[in-house]
Formats: sequence, structure tokens, C-alpha cells
Amino acid sequence: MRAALSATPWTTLVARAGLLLAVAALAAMPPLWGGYTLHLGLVTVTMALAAMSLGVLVGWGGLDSLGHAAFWGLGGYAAALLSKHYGPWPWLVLPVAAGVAAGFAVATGIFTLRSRGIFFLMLTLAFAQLGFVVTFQWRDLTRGDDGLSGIPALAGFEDHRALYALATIFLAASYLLFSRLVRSPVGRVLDAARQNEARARALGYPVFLYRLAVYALTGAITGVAGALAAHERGFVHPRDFSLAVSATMLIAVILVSQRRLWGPVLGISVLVAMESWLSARTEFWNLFLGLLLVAIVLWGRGGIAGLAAQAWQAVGRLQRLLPRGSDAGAARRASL
Amino acid sequence: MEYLSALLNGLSYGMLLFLLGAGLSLVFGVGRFVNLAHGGLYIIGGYVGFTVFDRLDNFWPGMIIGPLVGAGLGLAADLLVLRRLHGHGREPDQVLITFGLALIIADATRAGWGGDIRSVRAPAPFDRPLEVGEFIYPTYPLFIIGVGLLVLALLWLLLQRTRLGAMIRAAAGDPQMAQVLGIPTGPVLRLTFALGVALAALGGVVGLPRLALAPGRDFEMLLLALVVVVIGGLGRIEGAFWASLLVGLTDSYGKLFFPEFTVAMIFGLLALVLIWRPEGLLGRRAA
Repeated sequence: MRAALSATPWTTLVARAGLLLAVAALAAMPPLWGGYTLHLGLVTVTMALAAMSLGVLVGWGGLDSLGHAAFWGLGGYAAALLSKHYGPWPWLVLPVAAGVAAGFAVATGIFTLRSRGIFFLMLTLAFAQLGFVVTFQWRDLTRGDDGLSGIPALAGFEDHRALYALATIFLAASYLLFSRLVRSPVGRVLDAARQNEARARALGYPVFLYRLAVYALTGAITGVAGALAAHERGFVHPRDFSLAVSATMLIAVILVSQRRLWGPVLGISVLVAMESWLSARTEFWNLFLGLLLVAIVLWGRGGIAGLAAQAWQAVGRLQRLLPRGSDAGAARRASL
Repeated sequence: MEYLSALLNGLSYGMLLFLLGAGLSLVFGVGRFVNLAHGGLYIIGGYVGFTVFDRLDNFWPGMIIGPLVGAGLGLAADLLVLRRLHGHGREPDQVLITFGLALIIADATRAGWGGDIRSVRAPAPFDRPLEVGEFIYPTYPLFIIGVGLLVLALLWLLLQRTRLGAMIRAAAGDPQMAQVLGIPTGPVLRLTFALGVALAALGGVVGLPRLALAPGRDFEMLLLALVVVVIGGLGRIEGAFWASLLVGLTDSYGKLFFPEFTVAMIFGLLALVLIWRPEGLLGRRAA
């Protein structure tokens, strides 16, 4: 680790520190602004937490889930019911939300993780819809279409700035956890199985168990995200399980970059910013979201990051064409 | 008597779902393509049927014009964008782009036809109830059942008894081998896609007198079509047919016995089938 650090050129370190500062400054804006901006910030951070965990499934596990909202909704409802009927203690509510979502992940993962590709998409969607329909129709517990309102604020986090800080800490911690995970043996086996499942199995790795474990972990984290969001809004609705929520998370993952952990975070930020900006101006903002999705698929191989990389390469090609006297330029021309 | 009504209701609803599911299944089976805009094509068909009825005061031309508009849109979409995304391993892109198209359709139809509930009355000669002794039942659902059976028969004939059908089956079974043998898989897939989408639009027109159109109906129908296709086995027309009847009957008898939990029963049925047979009732393992 130390060797790696000293081997990194200091310019890269400065650039990284600058980036970190910029991100921190950006993250500090919503609580300073307050009001609607704080609300949007909380939506972004909680959804980013969910989308990042989905990103691990998609980018490293090759598990394109279209039912990630199930964990979000379950976490939200578990937290809402506990807070309303027992008490809004974070040490009770958040672990239970995580546990319920992880339990659901294990219970359904046993069946869904046997399939890949389109089958996995459909199965996860089916289970999320089951959650939607059950919360919609189990009126005694969930009040159905009316939703559960009047969820008390989490004890100690009545101020939404504090809640925002908590959510941000969860997001940063998850980032560190996941970046460790994808470099760990488990993560590498997951990635190997994504590329060639038969070979990974033949090497004796318990692919299914690793997938199930990671599925449960991402479910738990998404459950916490859903619980935090539920307490921010003070309201949960069967809509939390809907295809729209699952699709938003999957879009956020694919939108920017599937193989970088910050990709889904940026993706969600773009989506939330777009929605709030467009929906204030037009009734038909989904139309623009649809057009963006089509454009991304057609021209942005690998999402916005891929689009940026293409642009970067184009600039590079342009630079090579320009006559330059510098050594670097000469070396590059020589190597061509 | 009410059991018989529920049976007929379930069958007619099932046939409507079959029109949707058959198209979706065909597109998936042949093109390995996930089409999340399928429900959008359903409501486009429905709105076109509504406008035709509104202008001409005649329901029947819509039965032709709706599917034609659907097929045209399907051909255009496939030529312009979707053909680049056929095949395995492109599922995220397919989901993204067809979800985008579904959003565009949802907002465009809302802009064009407004957010009001649109419906038409059953056209003559199916506007009169059938009376057999004490049993009284509207005739339009019987017409829907007839359309469903006719479509099933025509699809079977097309797939099993024509040259095009053989090409479609070849392209579905092994696209690379089919290509090597000189079958133009690209155009075959495009035609299949247009056909599948036209069936969804036909469903929209036929369903209009039974199910009113409103924003949100597209995603509702998409989900039901997905349920049908997944239960029946992806890419299996017969599977889609039996699954449609199963879902239709679950819905109608569910409404009779457990009105609160009908929709939950449909998705519960789906979960049960998938736990028992992840590839669907008639599906083959094709992962």
C-alpha cells in the first residue's frame, strides 16, 4: 500500500485531493442551502446508495436486476412500520430494514440467481412486482394506495441536515466497502464468473454462494437507503416498489459507467437534476428522459463516461495530427 | 351462473393477454429482444382505434388501421435503432432503449390524446347481450375469444406451414447457422418484430370496448404481458397461450373469491411457476 502510494506521481495525488475536495464541497451544498435543495440532496444520496449497490451487481456480477426497488421498498416499509408502532430509534430501524431486505434477497436469490440475462431481469422484476402488489393490497398493514404517512423522524436526526450527513456517511462507507469488495477474492470470482461462468465453476469456486452473499449485501444496503428515504419523506407508498424506481436505478448504473463505483452516483445526480429542472418547466419531462436514454444507447457506448472517453480520444487524435516539437509528441509519433 | 360468467370473463381477458404476450414472446424468441415498449404499442393501437371510431363512427376499420400503424412503427423503430441491439449480452442496452421508447410513447400519447379515460361502446353486432334461458352475458367478450383463437390458428399456420415460418423458426433456433444457410436473418427478425408489435396494437383495438384507456395502462399491460411470457416460457407461442388463459382465469375467479388479492394472486402464480420451473411452463433452458 505504502509502496503503491509512493509510486504514484505527486501530480496524480494532487489531482485526487482536488477531486476529493470538489466532491466534498459539492456534497456540502445541500445542507448549506437547505429547503428544496436539501430535499433533492437527500433524494440523490439515498438513491445513489441504492444505485451503487445495484452497480456492483451489474458491473461485476453481470446480474442486471430490474427489481432492485424491492429492497428499497421493503427497507422503507419495515422502517416506517417500526418507527410508527415502536419508536424511531436508528439503532433499531436501520438494522431491521437492512435485515428484512437481506432476508428477501436470500429468499428470492435462491431462485433468481439460478438464471442469467433476460431470465434474471424478468424474475427480479416479478418479485419486485409481487412486493408492489402485496403492499398495495394488504390494506390492514400498509394502508394500500393511501400509503403510510406520518412516519416520525429518526431520533437524533430530526434535523434533515443531520439525516443528510448520516446518508452521506453511509454512501461514503459503502463506496469504501464496495471498492474493497470488488478487489477482494470474492469480487474477483464474481467478475470471473460474469465473463466465463463455466470456467469459474470448473476452478472450484462456489459461484452461486458468492453471488448470493453479494446479492444479500447489496440488498441490505439498498434497504437502509430505502429506510433513510422513508424517514426523510415521512411517507411510504407501494410506488416505492414500482418498475419506475427499479428502472431509474438501472438507468443510473448504465447511464454513466457500469464498471466504476462512482458511475451510479453521478447517474442518479444527473437524473435527479434533470427531473427537477425539466418537471418545473414541462409536464412531459419523461419524454426528454426517454430521448436521453435512446441517445445514450445509440451514441454513448459505455454511458456518459464512454461518450466522454470517445471525445477524449478524438481530442488525442487531433493532437497527434498537429505538428509539435516537444519530446513527448516526437516519442508518440515515433511509436506510431 | 356466476361461475360461467367468470369463466367467460377469464377466457376473454386471457385472449386479450394472449394477443399481447404472443407478440412479445415472438419478438423475444426470434430476436432475443426484450421489448419494454410493448405496452406502449398496445395503447397506441387503442388510441388509434379510438380516433378511428371517433371520426368514422365505425369501430371496425380500426381493427385494420391500428395494427398497420403498429407494424409501421415497429418496422421504423427496428430499421432506425433496434436492429443494432439484437442478440445475447445486449440486455441492458435493450432495456434502456425500449424503456426510453416506452417513456416517449407514454408522454406522446398523453400529449396527443390527453389524460382522460377513453373508451368506446361495443360495436354492432356485438352490442347486445346473449340470452340463453336465465343466463345473460354480453357478446363482445365472446368476440374477443374468437379473435384470440383465430390469431392462435393463424400464427400456428404461419410458423408451421409456410416458408417464412420455417425461416423464423430457423432464425430463432440458431441465428448463426440460419445465416450460414442463407436465411436473411436480419429481415426475418424485422418482419417478426413488426408482426409482434402489430399484435400488441391489435390487442389495444380489440380491448378498447372492454378496458378503457388512460395513462398508465401501457405499463400495466406491459407487466401483464411479461407475466404471460415468463410463465409460458420465453419465445413459446403455445406457452404464451396457456399462460394467458391461466392468468385470465386466475384474474376472473380471483375477483369472484378474493377480490382484494386478485393482482397479488397473479404475481404469486408467477413466483410459484418460476420457483418450480425457472424457464417457464413450456420453456427450454436457453441461458
